[in-house]
Formats: sequence, C-alpha cells, structure tokens
Amino acid sequence: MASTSRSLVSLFKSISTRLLYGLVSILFIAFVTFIIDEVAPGDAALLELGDKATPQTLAIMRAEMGLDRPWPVRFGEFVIKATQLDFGMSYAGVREPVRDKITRALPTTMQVAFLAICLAAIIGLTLGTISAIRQNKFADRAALSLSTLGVTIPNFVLAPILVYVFAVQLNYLPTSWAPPDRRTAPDIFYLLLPVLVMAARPAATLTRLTRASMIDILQQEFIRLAVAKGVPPFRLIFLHGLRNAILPVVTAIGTSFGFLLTGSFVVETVFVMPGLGSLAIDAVRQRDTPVILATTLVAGVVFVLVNLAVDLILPILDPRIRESQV
Amino acid sequence: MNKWWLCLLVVPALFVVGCQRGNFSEQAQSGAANVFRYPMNVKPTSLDPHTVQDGDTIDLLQNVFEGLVGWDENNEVVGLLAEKWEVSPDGKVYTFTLKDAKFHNGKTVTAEDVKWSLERAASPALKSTTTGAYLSDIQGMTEMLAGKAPNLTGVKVIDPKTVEITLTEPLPTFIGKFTYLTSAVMPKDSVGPSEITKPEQMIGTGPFKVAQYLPDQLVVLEANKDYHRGAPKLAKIERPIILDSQTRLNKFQAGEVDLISLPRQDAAALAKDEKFKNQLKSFDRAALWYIGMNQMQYAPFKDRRVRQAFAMAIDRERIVRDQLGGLVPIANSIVPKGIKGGGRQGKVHPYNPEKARQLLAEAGFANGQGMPPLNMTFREWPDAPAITEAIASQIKQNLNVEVKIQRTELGAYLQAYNEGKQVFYHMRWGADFLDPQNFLSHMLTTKGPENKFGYSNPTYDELCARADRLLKWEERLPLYAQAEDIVLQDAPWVPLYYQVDYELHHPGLTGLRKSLFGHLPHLNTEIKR
Repeated sequence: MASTSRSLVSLFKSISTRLLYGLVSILFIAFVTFIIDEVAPGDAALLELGDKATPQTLAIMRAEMGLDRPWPVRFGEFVIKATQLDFGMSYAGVREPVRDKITRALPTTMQVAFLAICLAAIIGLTLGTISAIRQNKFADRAALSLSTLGVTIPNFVLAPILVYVFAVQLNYLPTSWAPPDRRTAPDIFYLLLPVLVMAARPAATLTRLTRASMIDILQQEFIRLAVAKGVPPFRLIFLHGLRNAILPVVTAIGTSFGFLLTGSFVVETVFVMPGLGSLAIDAVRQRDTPVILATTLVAGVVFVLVNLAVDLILPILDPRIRESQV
Repeated sequence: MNKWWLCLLVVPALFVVGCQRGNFSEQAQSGAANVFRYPMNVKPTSLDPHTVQDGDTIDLLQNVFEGLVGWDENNEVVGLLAEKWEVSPDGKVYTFTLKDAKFHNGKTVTAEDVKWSLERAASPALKSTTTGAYLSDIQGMTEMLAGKAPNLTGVKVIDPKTVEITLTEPLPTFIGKFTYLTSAVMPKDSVGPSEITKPEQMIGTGPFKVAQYLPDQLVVLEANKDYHRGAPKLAKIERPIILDSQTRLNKFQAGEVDLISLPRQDAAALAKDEKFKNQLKSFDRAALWYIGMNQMQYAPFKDRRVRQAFAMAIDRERIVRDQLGGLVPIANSIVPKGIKGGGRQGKVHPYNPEKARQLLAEAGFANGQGMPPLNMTFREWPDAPAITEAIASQIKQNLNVEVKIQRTELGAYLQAYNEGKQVFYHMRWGADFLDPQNFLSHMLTTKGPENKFGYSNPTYDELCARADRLLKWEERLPLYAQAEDIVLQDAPWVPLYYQVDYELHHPGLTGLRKSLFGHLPHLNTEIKR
C-alpha cells in the first residue's frame, strides 16, 4: 500500500518535473525563433504589400498588425496571452485569431499522421520480426531492400509519382485530399495515398530498428533456454522476443510521430491538405510571426507530450525500468 | 520448401490488373452543368473589398462587390453601379447618376450608401492601404485618413440617385483609380470599421453572393439572380484553394477543375502537347519587366554613356527567344501595350556591342577597366534567374564587366528596393490603373514616389507634368510619347518584355471576359459539359 502511494507520488513528481523542463525549453525555442524572425530583413507588411509597398502604406499596415511596437512588448504580450491559449491575431491573409487557424489545421494533420504512424508501426514490427527470424534469407533481403527504398526516396518524389500513377493515369483514387463534407467516396480513398507517403520513411526505419533489436534479443541466453524448454515458436517470438525487443522501437515510434506531425509539409502541399505543416511553412514565407510562434509552441508541446507518453509506457512494458524508477 | 518465388508472381498480376483504368473521377463529382470550378492560387488575403490589394483575391471579390465604375474588355472605364457620369468643365467635379440596383439583402442602392461606403473605406480604424493609394484625389480624403476629419467633404449626396465627387485637382487619372475595389459600395451601417472576416458580412451588389467559405480550403459563390445587369449564366462558382501548381495541373488533367493558370514553362511544354494545345490561352498583362540601374548606389551609372552602353550590350531579342521561348512580347517602350499610348515602338537602344564598347570607353572605362564590382539581383519569379544570368553573361561578353548574381530572398529584396539600395536589378512594375501616368510619371520623374534610383531629367519632368494634367487623350498622348523617348534614350531602365499570363481552359468554357488586369466578373461565363 505504502509503496504504491510512494510510487504514485514519485510518478507525479517526475511527470511534473518533465513538463516543467519541457515548458522552459519550449519557451526558449520560441524566443530564439522570434529573434531570428525579428532580425531577418523584411516583415509581414512588406511581403503583403510586395512591389506596391510605399513608406505610407507600410506604416499603415504595420500599425494595423501591431508591428510598430518594440519587440520586447510584442514577445511579452505573446507569451502572456499564450498562457491563456490566445495566440493573437494572424498578420497575413484574412485577420483571424491564430487559435482558429491551429484548431482547423491540427485535426487534419493529426488524423493522417496518426494513421501513418500506426501503419508504419505495423509494417515495421512485422517486417522487422520476419527479417530477424529469417536473417540473411530471401525475406530478410527483400525487407531490407524495401526499407532502403523507403529511406532514400524523398517524399517529394514519392508523392507526385503515386498521384500521377494512381490518380491521374489509372484514376483509382482522387488527385488530392478533400475536407470530410466534400467527399464523394469513402474516406479511405482520400486518405490512402497521403498516409502511404507519410508512412514510408518511418516504416523503413522501424523495420531496421526492429530487426536489429530482435536479432540482438534472439541471440541472448534466455531465448536459448526457452527453446530448450520447448516453448512454442509463436510464444517465443512474441512473448519473449518481441516484448523485449520493442523497447527502443517504442521510443522511435514516439519520435517519428512527432516528426510526422511537424514535417508533413510536402505531403500537405501535394495533396492539398491544409494542415499544420503548410500552416507553419506559409507563416514563415509570409513572416506571420504569431502563427510561426504558435506552430513552434504546438510542435514543442507535441514532442514533450509524446516523449512523456513514451516514458510512461516503457515501464509498463519492461519491469526492469519500473523497478529502477522507484 | 521455401516457395518464396511465388511472391514474384504478384508483379505480373499487378500489371494485368493495374493497366485497366479506374473510374474515380467519373463517379466523383465530375462537374455539374453550369457550375464553374477554378482554383485559387493563393489563400484569400482579405474578405473586405476596402482593404484587398492582390489580383488573385480581387478576382474573387469583384464578383461579389462593385463600385460605381469598372473596367470592360476594351480596357475602358464603364459604369457598374453608375448609369452615367458627367465631368465639370474644370475637371474637378464628377456627378454620378446611380442605376436601379439592389444589394444582396434586397435593399436598394442609394447615394447615402455610396457616401457611407467611401467614408468607411477612409476610416482610420480600418487602416486600409488601398484607400490612400487610389482615392486620395477626392477632396477631404487625406484629412479623413489621417483622422483629422470625421467625414468626406468631397463626397456629396445630391439626391438618392445622384452623388457628386469633388477632386482636389483636375486629374484625368481619377476615374481609372476609382475602379479599384476600395470604392466598393456596401449597405449603410452593414459592417463596422474593422475588416470583414466573415462571409455573412459580405453584402455587395455583384453578380454573385458568397454561398460557402471554408477557410484555407474553398470558397463557393452562387448566382445573384437580381443582378442589375441581368442574372449571370452560371449557377455557381467553386474556388478550391490549391497552392501547388503541379497539383492544379493534375486536377485539370483529371477533369476536376475547368480553368487553371500556368507558369510560362508549363505553358511552353503544353503548347506542344496534342491534347492540350487547343486549351491553352494567353493573356496580356499591364506589367513591364525591366532592368534597373541605380545611380545612387553605383557611381558609373551616373554617366548616361555607361547606362547606354549597358542598354546596347543586352540582346533583348535573344533573351525573349531563348529564355522565354518567344512566348512574350519584347518591350520597346515603358508603357505596356493595351494601355492607351502603350506598346509603341519607342526609341530604345538597339543591340549593338560595338557601339556599347565605344561608349563605355568614352566614359573612361575602356574594356571594362576601372568599373567597381557590380552585383545583380532579381525579383523572385520563375523565369527571373535564367534571364538575369543571361544578361550578366552578355554584359561580361560584350563589355568585359564582371557582374555577380546575388540571389536574395523576396522579403530582403523588397526591403532593399524600398530603401533605394538595389544596384543593378531585374524588376517588374505592374499598373495600378491603365494610364501612362502610372508608369512614366509615377516611376521615373524626379519626384516620382517610386523613383528610388536617382534618375532626374528636367525636360522629362516637365513633359510628364503637363501631360498629367491635361484632360483629353489626344493632348496627353503625344507628350507622353515624347517623354518616353527621352527616358528610353537616357536608359535608367532597359525594358525587356511585357508580362503575359497563361491559362488552360476546359473546351466547354465560353463567355469569359478579361481585361489587362485579369478576369472580369463572370457575367457571361458559361460552362457546357
């Protein structure tokens, strides 16, 4: 009883500490981003006015955006408002609260990224395990070649090729994503290609990682003992092998998911998905500082939370970690 | 036995199955009759006609909102909400008679609405950049924009159907500037002085109303059957927002959209494609691409002979032929063709490397010796890098002057340009309104607001100043022509080409109207499938 409450308290403490460190680093990243944006030549007003910028129109537009205030004021105001989840008004385009832009973009990216990481995990764990069991045989070679392709083909090559083959030429699939209420076919038609493209690289890296980890585990003494004891193959692979090999893979899944959420720009451009990636890149292009900072914060929070989740799952999987935490 | 080779049978099986074409786009909405689908290349920058300033968003909003006047296909100013207008003999007072027209909410348009709309556009709280740029000729506008006056003294309501606008000076360019959407008429008190952000607030008089607005994704317009010039032929216009040009092309080829704009290189490729070359259309734009020489940043450019040498060392015909595939018209004047007095055969310097070298030697830089290092920059645009490199190599080859290309990010480029820090640059000027004044006086007179390169010629200034104030085209154009020849000879700019834009049109698309600025509101557009 006492040990349970002690471990709960220490768990709570470790989570809070991690969140606090996470918050401080996110704040630091936001500050650096802000300074870089500040120092770089040009600003949102100049880019919106373009060739037609004159000193008068620039002054008016900057006043409208609030860019005429000194930078400590602007950054301070952003941070204070951010604590209340108010990220201010966007500079570029139709003036709307940045929060609205984020709440529109996030689910779009989240859905595709989540499906992609699930697919990547399934492929990675399956192919990696098969490779490890049939090490150096045909299945292993095939899986390794596929994973090399997955790592080396850039997504800005893969996406247009898939669209051209399956949508334009063969006409099996739509040429782009569409918002849910504009779809004329089941959702899977619209999600298949974006999810495939996003899953390609993580699937490849997870395959290799699973393979390496499994090979390492399968060579250990306790496996030989289990074989000698006559444990059936399936139980051997899953209960004894994979359950131990999965630890580094879980961490990699977490990191990959973080990268998918924030690195989805190419997929979003080709498939016309207005998600977080294109929101962030467009904001950089247009020097839309509130949106740049808000997406940086969101990305930072995502990484912190995902890492936290991974760190909470690992002890469940591996009692040795659980013990060492108490 | 390991039957791994069975896996290989999958590959030929895929080929057999795979080569059959599916029918996704037929099943999907392949386009209802009279619904015109064409993408927006950018996200709408504003939903408010009083603040919008980029061509793509204007193409959207001009179907919903109108002012008193607008452009027609002959690039002339015609009445939209104005039935007619009269100008006083001194050229300062314009009296507009309004048509019988209704707003989208059924209310009749009156002179009160016109005055209210202009005052809203001028309100300091709105902070519009276009009102000052286009409507500052109206008496009282400058004061109201500065917050020094509560209303516009220059706009008077004579009766419910008559508005009188008084200018500060009798400038002939006013009526062209008055076509800009910043003069759009909205119902009195329908919106506050802060920018419109919701489609419900968009109440205009145009041929279409906003039916649906999904931010970042889609705008749908539906026909306004009570439009004062007759109901449009289309039932709906759908504008999905597609930022990537390759994706737009894919969708056009898949039949999912009916019109797309193309970068010039894609147009060049498609001009040879049997299937698409008949659907390719070209559109002249009122924009000039030129090379600028800033004498305030590079001392040798102060000498007219150096500038002329540079002008003669650039083989413009070759650039248009090689870098631009012959798809754009070469510019032999400053004012683009399509604008009155534009596109003429001006006194440009012909390509003459011999004479160029001679002039450079006369200026004291024989064989390029003694010229300080020269950097060349360009405004980001698909063809700009290739053109800039070609010019740099021509200068090197013909004059033996080293020109280093400096690639700058757009924000940095614009900032340097605004501060007058560009030295030798490839740039564009697009007309604000269709009048030679906007090119010749606005850009090149000594006090011209856009003259950031130190060019000054009193004779030129005097000719432009006279032409700016006369009221009749037949009096103004000869003066502008004279001035243009002077500036072409002085060569602060070397004109290269006039911009041409390309589009792909669905074969069943008819009735599309266009002006030099782009599409005109879709009154007669029809799509037959």
